[in-house]
Amino acid sequence: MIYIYVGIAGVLGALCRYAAGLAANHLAAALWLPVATLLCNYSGSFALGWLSSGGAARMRLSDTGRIAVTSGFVGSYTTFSSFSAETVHLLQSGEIVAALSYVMISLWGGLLLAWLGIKIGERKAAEGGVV
Amino acid sequence: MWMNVALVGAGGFAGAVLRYYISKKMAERFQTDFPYGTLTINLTGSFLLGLLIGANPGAAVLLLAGTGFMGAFTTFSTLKLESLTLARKSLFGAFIGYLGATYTLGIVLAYVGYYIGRAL
Repeated sequence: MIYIYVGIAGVLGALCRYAAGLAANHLAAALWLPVATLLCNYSGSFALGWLSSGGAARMRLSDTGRIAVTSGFVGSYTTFSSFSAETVHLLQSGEIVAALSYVMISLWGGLLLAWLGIKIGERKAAEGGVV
Repeated sequence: MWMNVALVGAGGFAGAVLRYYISKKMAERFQTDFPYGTLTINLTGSFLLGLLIGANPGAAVLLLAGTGFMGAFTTFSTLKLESLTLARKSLFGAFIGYLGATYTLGIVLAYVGYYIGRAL
């Protein structure tokens, strides 16, 4: 049964990522980096950090609900394969600086946002406040 | 429009379920701190998405198998959370190794996949 919930949450995560991609397409000419993927990956990393460090508990999610939101929704909303393919595309277009920047911004920025999510989740958990 | 939504959604369902299944099975099999499951998933998905883009099968297949399936199958947030968990356990070798292997091999495999796909 858990697979059904993970799958349904995965549908929603993939559609949110698709919508972000469509929205960014309208600005594509002005953009230097694949910002749609970057924004999904950043916001998803922050959300997963927060959820895993007390956020899920404060939302009063059951175990099944927590797995659906984290593995299903956030896991599907963020993506690594698009990141890899976009980096290859930048390299092939001769945009070496953009490719290296994209890798570094994704790598360290994603870690920073996941870490911030964890810290905020832990602090609120320590305060004991129920939001 | 609704056709595209259905394609991405169907791919997303299958990708999320398969990722959940594989990471669960691999976590049971390798009782270790190192996230082999996510690593395998992200590397496989990067190779297959490269292959798909190289083969250029048309917009509908790209939405179903690329944006939907591979997008949902691979994950970025779990990679970051697992990396930080390694760092917080002071497993810095594993932290560097996990990030280094994912990023380096992921991009190389997407590249190789793309050229194989173009040759198909």
